[in-house]
Amino acid sequence: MNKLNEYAVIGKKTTKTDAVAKVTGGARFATDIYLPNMLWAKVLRSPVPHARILRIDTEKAKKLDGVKAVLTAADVPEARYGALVLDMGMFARGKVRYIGEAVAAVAAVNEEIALAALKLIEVAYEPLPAVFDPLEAIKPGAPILHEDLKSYKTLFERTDKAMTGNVNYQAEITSGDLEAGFAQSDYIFEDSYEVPKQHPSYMEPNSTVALVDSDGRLVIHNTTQRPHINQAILSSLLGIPIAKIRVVPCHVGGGFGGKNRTLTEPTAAALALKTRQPVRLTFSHEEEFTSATTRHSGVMVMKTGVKKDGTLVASDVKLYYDCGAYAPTPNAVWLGAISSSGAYRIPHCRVEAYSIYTNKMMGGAFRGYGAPQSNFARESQMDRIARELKIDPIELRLKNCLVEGDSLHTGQKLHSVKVKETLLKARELSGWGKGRVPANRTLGVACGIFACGGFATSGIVRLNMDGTATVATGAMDMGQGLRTVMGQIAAEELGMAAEDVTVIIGDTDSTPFDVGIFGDRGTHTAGMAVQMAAQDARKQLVEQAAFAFKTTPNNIVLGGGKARLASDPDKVLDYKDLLGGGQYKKGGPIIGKASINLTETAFDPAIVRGAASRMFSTYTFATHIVEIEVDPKTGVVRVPKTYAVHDCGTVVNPDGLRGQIIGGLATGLGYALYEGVAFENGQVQNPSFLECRPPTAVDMPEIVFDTVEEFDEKGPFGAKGVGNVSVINMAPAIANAVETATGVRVTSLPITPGKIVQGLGQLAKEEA
Amino acid sequence: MTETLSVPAKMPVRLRVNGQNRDLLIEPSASLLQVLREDLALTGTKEVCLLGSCGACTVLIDGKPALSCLVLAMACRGKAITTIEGLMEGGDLHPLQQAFIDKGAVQCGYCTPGMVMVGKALLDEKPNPTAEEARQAIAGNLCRCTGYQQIVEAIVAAPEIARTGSAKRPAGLMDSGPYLMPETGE
Amino acid sequence: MIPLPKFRYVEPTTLAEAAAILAAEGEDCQILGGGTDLVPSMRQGIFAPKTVLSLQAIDGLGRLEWSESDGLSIGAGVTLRRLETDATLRKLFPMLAQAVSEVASPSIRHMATLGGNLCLDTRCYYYNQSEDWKACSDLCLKVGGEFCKASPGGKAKKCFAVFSADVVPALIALKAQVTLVAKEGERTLDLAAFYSGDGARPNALKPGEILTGVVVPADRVGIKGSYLKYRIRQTIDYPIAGVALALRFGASGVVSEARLVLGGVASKPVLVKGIAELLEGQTLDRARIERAAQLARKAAIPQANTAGQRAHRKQMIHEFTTRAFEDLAREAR
Ligand SMILES: Cc1cc2nc3c(=O)[nH]c(=O)nc-3n(C[C@H](O)[C@H](O)[C@H](O)COP(=O)(O)OP(=O)(O)OC[C@H]3O[C@@H](n4cnc5c(N)ncnc54)[C@H](O)[C@@H]3O)c2cc1C
Ligand code: FES
Ligand code: FES
Repeated sequence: MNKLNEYAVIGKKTTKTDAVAKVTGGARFATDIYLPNMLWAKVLRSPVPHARILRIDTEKAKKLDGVKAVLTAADVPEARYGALVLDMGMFARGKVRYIGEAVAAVAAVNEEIALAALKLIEVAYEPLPAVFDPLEAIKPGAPILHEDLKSYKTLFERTDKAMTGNVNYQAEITSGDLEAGFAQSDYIFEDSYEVPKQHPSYMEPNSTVALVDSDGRLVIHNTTQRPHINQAILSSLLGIPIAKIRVVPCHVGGGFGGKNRTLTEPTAAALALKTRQPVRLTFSHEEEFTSATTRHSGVMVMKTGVKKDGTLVASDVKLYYDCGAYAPTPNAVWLGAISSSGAYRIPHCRVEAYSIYTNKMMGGAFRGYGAPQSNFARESQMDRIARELKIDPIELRLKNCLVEGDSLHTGQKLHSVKVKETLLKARELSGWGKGRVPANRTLGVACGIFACGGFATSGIVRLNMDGTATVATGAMDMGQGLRTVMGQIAAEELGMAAEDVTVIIGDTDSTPFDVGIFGDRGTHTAGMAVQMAAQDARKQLVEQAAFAFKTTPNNIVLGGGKARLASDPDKVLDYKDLLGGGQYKKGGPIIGKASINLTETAFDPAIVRGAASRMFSTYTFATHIVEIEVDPKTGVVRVPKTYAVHDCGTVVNPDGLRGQIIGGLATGLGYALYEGVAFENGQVQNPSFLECRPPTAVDMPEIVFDTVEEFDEKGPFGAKGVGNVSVINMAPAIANAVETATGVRVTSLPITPGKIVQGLGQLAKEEA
Repeated sequence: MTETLSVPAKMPVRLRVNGQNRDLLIEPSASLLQVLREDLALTGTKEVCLLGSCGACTVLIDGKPALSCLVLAMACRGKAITTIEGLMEGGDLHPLQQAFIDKGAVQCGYCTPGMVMVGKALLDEKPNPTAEEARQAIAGNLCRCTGYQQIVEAIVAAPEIARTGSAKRPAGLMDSGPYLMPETGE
Repeated sequence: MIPLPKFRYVEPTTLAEAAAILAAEGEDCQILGGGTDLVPSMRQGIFAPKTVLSLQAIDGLGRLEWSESDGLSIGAGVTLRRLETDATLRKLFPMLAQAVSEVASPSIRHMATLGGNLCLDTRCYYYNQSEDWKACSDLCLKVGGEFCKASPGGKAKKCFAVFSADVVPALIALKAQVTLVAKEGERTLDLAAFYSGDGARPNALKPGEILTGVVVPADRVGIKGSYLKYRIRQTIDYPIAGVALALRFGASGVVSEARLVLGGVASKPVLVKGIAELLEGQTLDRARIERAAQLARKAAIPQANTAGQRAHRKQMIHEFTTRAFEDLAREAR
């Protein structure tokens, strides 16, 4: 059902509210804050992957002129934090577990002195054996990173494999009867896939300015996707009540999950509390690559049983995600498990998902969150099955894809399932099988599923006396345009123009709680709260109008900033007249509110053990078809064209949607061909954009994009997210096209020319 | 005993930034980026990689794009420096700035100043660039948000905005974000 | 912002003045061209000169002149952007323009100078890192350690950092001559001889010397050339394999001159030996091209100190050499 034509604001081109500030250089980011008396913080980091800390001597550093404070673990409360596993403190305590881990921090009058002071801190380490490979780390006898793991607090239901050895989070999904499923299968495919860490590569580095205000409150200006969670973590780490902490995020210079994190805030805060001066801590470009978080690297082992006709019958998946030395968000592997059966109906499934510690930088959230890994495996293997069974890859997908009313292997019944439509539309757009592609080009397809929305959020909508509205949401705009979208949603619901709505985001003093922007929850979930708050306000407005017109509420129609009588449309009152003067003849000032949690239903414990969440409110789907050119002699792959069809629910902001999708494809392209954090003995070898290589403008394909609009009853005006699913298909689609073009199946990322040429047998033995 | 770092000798320089002469006292080793951001409070020019590999710090020096993280401020004496803050004309947005807004070319905005500056240099050289020329011009500027398409479209659309004079005059430029002011240099 | 190490900045206006400063300060003074290589290295703490001497105010270094008697003379201060867009250069030596246009990114080419490209420092995963990064393990040979960590087995006493300038292979293929000026006087040498092959000290520049420019001899006109570069992304990235081929064809397609130079696969640009012997006086056929490509492949000694698999980079050299020959043979027909 397409309701788009009925809307006045939703789906219409709406200019981004922060665009002027951003094109004129006026937008102030956390990195742009310079305050009188501001101190600069720098962090001393571990140079070794695993060691006991024998001694830290900060005396010399403290005596350096211009140094105002030096902190180590000994100076801060012994508290730990994490999303599911509370394993990390502000500073290394007793042990360091990766190269780049924070050991001490300095605040000084300028950066040079702060850096010089770091050099004066003496740390004695006793090296310990280290482990860098997740499969090694789960072998008996492997070096253990967290000896007291069992005693750590966790926020999920532990399976017996969880929190043992180097495994932190663990989950299992079992549906149907796996043995029987394989017995019924005509063919069994078993493959293993490997992916590296990918850095989120937001442009703006992590940065925080912390200060203590005249009320004695801690004030944080930062770049974050989750101000309210920051506030809570600061409270628990520093032992300060939440009400005494104010987080006021600045514009976020890109996050993509990487800023769904609390990294610079606690250190800056602790230094500000100690010195009573404002303190700024900004990560260097190198620190971003050694001490922030990345997409988890991992190994996926996938065994799938199929019938001769291509019907998928059974699937046994093992996911080993490497979370590095701490597990700030091990639920990546949970999302990976959910996406691991692809957008397919597979009656007999088992998934075992492990989040494993190694002595490397941390794995965290990043666009696609857990799914790019498992979907690379699933969609690569689908093409292998198609090739082996001589079935067209799209036909194979169509045959098995989920449809409305199907259940996922987790037992969750699905609604708003439009994967089939995305496959069909993408096939048509690309001319798949029609011989339309130029001779030197090859098509490759992949589709995917991603969990969308959920968790707790809230919204407040206030109507002002002049008929304008002020919306407050704790959800952050990381640049994706959430602030604009929230305004559109409220305006639509209240029957007013988008420009009459002002949206306050993020500031924990003036916005209500939101858990953080990740997993396509922005437009969908936080948007839902804003819509419900607007509905609440609308109801109150209708009551005021009914009172003014001396009629009943059901005789009132709102729209265009006016209230009318349904029975006599010439009787009109502008909102401003209705609310004018603040006299509020009926009821008080209008404040609408909503407070929701869209993930309330728990998974069936007979199917899912160790769930890291309750059921997601909805799922989003997409099909991508790439048109590639592979040079068979050099192995160089170019992607001149990509067809992207998304099932995105109602389109709220067309420009924003397009930007989200193309941006996601760019990240997917980088994952497929160029990026990957490289390690040697736990040390990042390529800690910069120069060597980690996000795609540039000239690497990008021409993009033909379309949507299958479907009204999702659980999203605001039927909308759902696209930010994540846009990332997850590029790598398998390209790998699939590469195999079609060259016969070489690349099972690890990135798909480098070297791997292709090696597969073609072009490399002399002694050279390879 | 307290240790002291040797205080570097600062040098007086005059820089011409956005059409104005600015007399400053700077360290000879200061990069142009550092002086713009930290001495002149022109924080629109962004600092990201400091290695020449991202383009976020792009400004124009004598009309040509330059990565200000790689330029010494001392080497800019006698040259005209233009930053993102110097692009508006008489209170109106530059057509290219308007085009970025209209085409949805701005997401997080961190790459935007650099993108606008290379786009401006291109338009000054080629008043009606093709999409391919625009794409080539921004090749050294990374953007993680947009996938570049809408940025290319904005550069191509700018001449039309210039012709029709449809660039708007924004109501104000102060950011409504945290009410913190950069400390201006001496 | 991570500050640059402290230095004094000088901007002499004559070559003599520059040479005098350099003579007085020796190794403590570092020359600045466009700064696109030196400044990032200083930022990472690789260099901390007491004085930085900019060449930008020295007039003669900006020359770009063609004469039928003396050839093409390019001053060290000419920007890559100017080279890339100069009509004469594009017409006479399209391969050179091609190689220049493949350097880094457009904005960098606006800043970068020819002199800087010729004197570009060699690069390596273990070298182009910050001090903090390097402090995590043993230092490499190039920064005072015992061994070259990128060498096979990691135990060589010779530095294998990779030579990555794009313009140089093209210039060497065109037999360019380079001029170096010091207080004591000037010397001119074949550009090929300017490079040492030692990653730690990649070129023959002595303390106190300034590279003032190159000359492409007039008799190079009519040479057909091709520069092919392999990089990961299609812009910004340094070459990890590059081939510059210069050929002259005589009557009926006979090769009268052949020069093949490789970049990005050794610590210096590699002038492939045996190419002239193999091809001069011969017509190009598939077998000879394959022989040439094999010579090139063998001459390439890429190490694991930059992106790309070593074996694959050798394969790229093989393939690019073949293509360069095929392209030029086609052009000649
Ligand atoms: C992101 C990035 C990507 C790059 N990609 C490439 C690439 O693809 N290909 C490539 O070839 N280069 C690349 N470069 C390197 C560099 O930009 C070019 O090689 C450029 O030509 C260097 O010139 P410059 O004038 O900026 O050098 P500078 O940095 O000024 O100088 C480089 C070195 O040469 C010395 N020097 C400079 N001029 C003289 C002189 N006249 N006499 C004696 N010594 C001198 C300096 O002391 C210094 O050691 C890249 C750089 C960056 C930052
Ligand atoms: S900050 Fe200058 S290029 Fe990245
Ligand atoms: S808009 Fe965010 S990096 Fe370009």
